[in-house]
Amino acid sequence: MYWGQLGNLFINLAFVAALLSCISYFFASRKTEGGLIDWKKLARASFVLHALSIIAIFAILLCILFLHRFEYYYVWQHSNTEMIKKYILSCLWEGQEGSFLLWMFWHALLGLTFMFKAGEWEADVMFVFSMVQVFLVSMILGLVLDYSWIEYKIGSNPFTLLREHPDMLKMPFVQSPTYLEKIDGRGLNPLLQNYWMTIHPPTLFLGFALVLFPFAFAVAGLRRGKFVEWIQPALPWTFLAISILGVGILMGGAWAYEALSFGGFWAWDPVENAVLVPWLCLVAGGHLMLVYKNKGTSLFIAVSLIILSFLLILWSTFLTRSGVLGNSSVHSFTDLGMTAQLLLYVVFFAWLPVVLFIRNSKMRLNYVLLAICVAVLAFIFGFNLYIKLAIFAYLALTIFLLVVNYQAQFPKSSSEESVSSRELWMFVGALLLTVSWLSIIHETSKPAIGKAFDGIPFLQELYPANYAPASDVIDKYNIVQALLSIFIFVLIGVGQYLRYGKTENSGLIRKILISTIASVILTIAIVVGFGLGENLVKENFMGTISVAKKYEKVLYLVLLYFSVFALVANAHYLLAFVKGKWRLSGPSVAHIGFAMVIAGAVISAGFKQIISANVGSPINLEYLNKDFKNNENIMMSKGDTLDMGGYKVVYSGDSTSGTNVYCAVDYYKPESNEKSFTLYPNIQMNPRMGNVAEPSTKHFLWKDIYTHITFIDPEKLQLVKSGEINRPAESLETDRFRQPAVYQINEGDTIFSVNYYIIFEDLVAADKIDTTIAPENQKIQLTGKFKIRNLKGREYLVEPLFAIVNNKIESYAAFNAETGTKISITNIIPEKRKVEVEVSELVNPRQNDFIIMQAIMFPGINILWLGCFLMGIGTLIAVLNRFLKK
Amino acid sequence: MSKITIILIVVGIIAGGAIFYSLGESATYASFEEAQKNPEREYHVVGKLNPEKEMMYNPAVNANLFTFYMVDNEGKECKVLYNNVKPQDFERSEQVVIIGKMEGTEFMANKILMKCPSKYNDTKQAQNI
Repeated sequence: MYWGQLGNLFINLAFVAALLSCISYFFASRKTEGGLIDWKKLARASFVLHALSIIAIFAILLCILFLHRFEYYYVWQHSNTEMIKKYILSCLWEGQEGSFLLWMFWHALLGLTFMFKAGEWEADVMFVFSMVQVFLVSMILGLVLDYSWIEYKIGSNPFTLLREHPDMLKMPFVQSPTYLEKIDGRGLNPLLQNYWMTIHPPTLFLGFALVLFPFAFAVAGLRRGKFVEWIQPALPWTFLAISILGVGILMGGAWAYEALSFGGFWAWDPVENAVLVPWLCLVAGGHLMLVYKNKGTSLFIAVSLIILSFLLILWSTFLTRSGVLGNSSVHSFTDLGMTAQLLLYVVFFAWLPVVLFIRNSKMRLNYVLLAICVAVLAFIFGFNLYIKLAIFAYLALTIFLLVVNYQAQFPKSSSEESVSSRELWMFVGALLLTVSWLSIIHETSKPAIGKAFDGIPFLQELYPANYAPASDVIDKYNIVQALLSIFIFVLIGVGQYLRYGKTENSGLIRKILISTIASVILTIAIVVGFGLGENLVKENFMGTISVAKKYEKVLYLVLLYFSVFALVANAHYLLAFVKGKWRLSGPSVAHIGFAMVIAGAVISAGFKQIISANVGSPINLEYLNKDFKNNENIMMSKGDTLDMGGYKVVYSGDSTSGTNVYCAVDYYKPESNEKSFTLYPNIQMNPRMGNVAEPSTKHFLWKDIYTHITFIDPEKLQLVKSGEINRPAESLETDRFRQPAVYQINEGDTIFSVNYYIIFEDLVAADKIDTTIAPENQKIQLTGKFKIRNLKGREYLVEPLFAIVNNKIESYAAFNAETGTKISITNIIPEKRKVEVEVSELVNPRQNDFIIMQAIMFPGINILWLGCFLMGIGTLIAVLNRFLKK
Repeated sequence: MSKITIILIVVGIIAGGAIFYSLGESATYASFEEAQKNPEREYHVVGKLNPEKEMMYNPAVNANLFTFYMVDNEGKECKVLYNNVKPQDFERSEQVVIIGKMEGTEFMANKILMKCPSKYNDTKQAQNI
């Protein structure tokens, strides 16, 4: 089968059809009656063709992954024959090409469902839809431009053959005609072999795809001069996007928590920020759309935020996929050489709404021509100082034109809001959200801004090109966001009691007071229940942490209080005013969910406790440096019992399954010595990708204990993998032991071995001797009690057995794994009251049989997951309510 | 002045404050020499591991301390004390970025980033094993 040719055929078809659909919708939207061509029919037909092609590409890529066709680079790079079939889908979207495909796939499906029912908005909205698709398909086109004046590859094609891929051209193995019989794929990154990775990316990209709806509606509104009318049909789609995207983001957090070993669900990494920022912007924009619909104010900011939320998705795509972030992220991004193309994608869709907004056709033409001039100059001369200045001048012109057109075209609201109106405070909330996402995207974009400003006087000092993120970047984000969230929660809590327009004062204060008092009680209950106060005192005022850190915890407590306040106020509203009317309960449920997400995050992450303290080390690291900590990791030798976080823990053994090596760690209750549970933090050994630690977490209702291995001796890992370590002593081949030494000793004697002392303590009979049986039929069984003491004074008890059955000697050796020593009693010499003992040691005693583990206790993390669920459900109820109303 | 204008101004000030707060705090890439001049400030130093000198990680003594010698891009060598376990495949790393402060002649690192030969492309990477 010619899968590749077929795939490329559909890629080209999808591109051409999207382009045709875009052009046809453009003409269809101009409503010239009775032309030669029915543009709308043509546009629809080509969009259907486009959508079917996308589905075909998707299916073909899936087929070649299933069939392990390693002649294709993408298949070779992202899968192998060993992997489990259920992760094939994850392989599909592991690479850039596949994830672009997933994004297009959702656009295509959404476009199909929307197109036939869109009514008067069809042509305008679908025009934008198909234009976005043209850009997206170009990302997987793989078209090589090779002329004297330009050398560029447009997009990266998923059907490139392995032997034709630029990275592989010089590899000797692909030269052999039979190379396919010998190779296996590189395999899916073990971190992605997790069920979350099968559902998180599709959810996230569905969220991304849904954001295109409000954007397309807003752009259509600008183009038509219908600045108001687009809001009504776009509203349900906006909130659907908020719901799906929000859940998708937190699913990513759940995956990070389950499968990654960075110790938490959120790390403010550029990849995470890239999806959070558009969501925050969309939430702000969506709320302002509600404000406009109800009160007719803040229209311009609503339109701007909605357009920005889509642009932020494009900007984030650019940041995370172009390699521009470089060293600033622990995550390495592959640069497929598409930086220019991705940047063009962002710039074009930022520029397009402005062009469509300009009413005066002459002004618009000049604005477009000027853009072309700047682009051509930039192409010829590269981005030197003058071109950069020209771009800034163009930006200034853009702002000027926006202001002029805003003054000329936009409907103004004349009414002045009352201080007690809901819309005024919703507006403030939206602005706070805007400050929030601005500060996040600013921090994340610094490396890119640094590159853009490089060479421009003054600005380049403000944003150094060699910018590096601070190491405590997480705290930095947390503090700014926590401060903003406090204000947002006040608004969420109080806002529900206010009416649009003007609120009667009667009872308002009383209602707020009830919630305030109730939330004080609830917060105290949480602090006491989870032991946060104790934690606060112990860590903050007895430890050696800096002053800033002390106040950070206090800030978290304040934030906790206000999130509880928002929760209580909305619950109160839900019970007292919404009552049983489920269709109206959406906003309250969603706000309760959001408050719980933040409360859960504050309790679990703000007050997490690293319980893996490394006790008994002779070196106190705090003396070396005041920023150093002793308690991040715990060393556990196999079989030792240690105290950790209120448990007695024992690293009891290793096992393997597939490519994973599991280290069993048993947790005992200290009072009863009864085994409570066992965790299996593990190492995935992938020959191509190295060893990756995967955490193991015990979930309780009110807390989680999260553990992961931070260090394991590679040699030991190999021993476990080959099954060497768990083999019982009897089956160990004798040649791995040193020549046994034979001793004749009395009770209480000590043998000096190479690394240990061995003390013979006692010889105990297992059963009493039965005198009724004749001596030759006697069965005597004796147990020797030996203590092995190593140089550090640690002792191990070893008990070899010795039996006489029917006058024959039977000897059973005992083996101690930690010291690698085997002891057997070979004979008893009653007249001398001595025993004959044989001691042999392993050639390489396993001194490396230990793991180093980090264990973190996350209190109340389930509050966060429940909040996520409620937020999604609440928003869906609100969406459903809007769809039903229509 | 309408309420909206006042609010816009207030929020604008908050936003400006937040942005400038974050501007002042950023660290930069530097050499050991630069870091030595300013021991209070946190720096990122890029360099290569010196494989000839001893790497010390003895978990039996302290599991949270790993020491090694690194040569920065200007060729200066410095002893680095890292407050964590030894990262996996540390010997194989092509380039190392250490984050921390200089104290006397030793660099106190609290974070290490490694660039390994084509490992974990395009996805989240666990830092230590």
